Amino acid sequence: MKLSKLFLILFLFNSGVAQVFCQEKSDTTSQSLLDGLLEEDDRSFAVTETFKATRVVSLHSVETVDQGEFLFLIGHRFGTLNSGLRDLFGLDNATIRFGGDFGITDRLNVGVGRSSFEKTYDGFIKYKLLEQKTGTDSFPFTLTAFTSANVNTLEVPFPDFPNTGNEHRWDYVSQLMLATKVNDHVSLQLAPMYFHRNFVEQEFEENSFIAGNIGTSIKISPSTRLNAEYFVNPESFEDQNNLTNSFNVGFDIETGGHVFQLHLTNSKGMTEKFLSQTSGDWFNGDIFFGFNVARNFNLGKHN
Amino acid sequence: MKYIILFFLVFGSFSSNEEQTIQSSATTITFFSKAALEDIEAVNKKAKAAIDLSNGQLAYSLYISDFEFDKKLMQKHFQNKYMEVEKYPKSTFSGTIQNWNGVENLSSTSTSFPIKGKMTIHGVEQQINETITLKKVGKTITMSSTFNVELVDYDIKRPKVMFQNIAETIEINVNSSYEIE
Repeated sequence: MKLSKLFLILFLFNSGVAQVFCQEKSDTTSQSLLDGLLEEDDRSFAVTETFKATRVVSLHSVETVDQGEFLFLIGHRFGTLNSGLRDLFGLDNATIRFGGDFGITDRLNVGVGRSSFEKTYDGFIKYKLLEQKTGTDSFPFTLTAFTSANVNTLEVPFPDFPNTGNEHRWDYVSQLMLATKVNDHVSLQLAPMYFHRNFVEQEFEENSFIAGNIGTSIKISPSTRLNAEYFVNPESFEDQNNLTNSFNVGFDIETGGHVFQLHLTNSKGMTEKFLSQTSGDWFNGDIFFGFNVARNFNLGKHN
Repeated sequence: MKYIILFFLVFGSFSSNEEQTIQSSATTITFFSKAALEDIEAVNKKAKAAIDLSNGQLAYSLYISDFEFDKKLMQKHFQNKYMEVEKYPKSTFSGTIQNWNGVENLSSTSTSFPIKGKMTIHGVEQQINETITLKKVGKTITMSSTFNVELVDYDIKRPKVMFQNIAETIEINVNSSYEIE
């Protein structure tokens, strides 16, 4: 065969073969380009929204308000369901707490509140020490520390003891909250607590004691969650007093900047201090219905 | 001699299909939602992109959690409630710039090219046909594209109560720059 003919055939052959190879390369290249990008890109992110709000039901959750944000919280608690029809099953006896949580930084929050029950003011500082993370540098839980003071401002704080001093109006509660977002549907929290009360009414009551609470949040839909918390007061195990452990159930509905919470509880008050004074019994119908409205305000531009 | 020429003829022709893949030096993705009660904007400055200069193949990858909003609470809702980052942490695109004529032929004035490919958002893959604008100035290639995305196409659910706050159609803006050696 003439060499030029051979070259022609080979040239055509190569163009044809090259075309085929070229095609295959084109079909896979954009995917393999993407695969290359995905391969070298594994990062860690902090887990957010372990709980939808800074409270599980009445007690604090590990969540903090972000820097420059202000959470305005209005809590309503009615009387017991077993108060009967006359009292509209507790609706006639309402107490209210209004307060706010403010984000100094994403981790550091301060807050104040005032409950109409015993005209008590409460103030707290909350700091998120550790954050749960996913990805390559994963970390299993979020740890938040909390300390608060409550002051009873009734003219006579303890009606059975009219001669108490001002220092006796104060109660202090601290806790360490440990929580984990198991998955998108379930979160769990555990919190050992330390109470100190400047005044106790009964002799056998301790001024200082350790208690604890556990809480959970379960996703029902993207905007709704079912929460529960159980506060264990070691004093409830004493026979001499009629204290009980506090069990609270709440249903959260979240819409953009608002969270509406409906709850049922056997505790009259809405802060940590009051939960330690619980004497209601769920099985006896000493159930208080209540609801909270939480509204998030953005006070500063977050960058 | 003839056989040496033959050898190069046979094997030489394959060299024209070598990959010249480069990664973007900076890619920014912004999205914008315009609704009756509010406008929402978020920026992702950590997106990654790569191009094969020999054939115009293009790929993008980003983490949804890298989108930054003015309101941190909105950012959290976006991640958890709407985009479900736990299940779908990333969004990607892989496709081809049509009518690709090689990097040497890129103009220093912006020129539009059609682009086709697969876009994956919230775990849903869609074939898309959009336009991308390219220009090459010195050793820098810049690319940008603006296109719309329908929430419903990617199974992103918007609660009825939010219809005045979140648009059904979101405008996305992509900007990348590449340095060629």
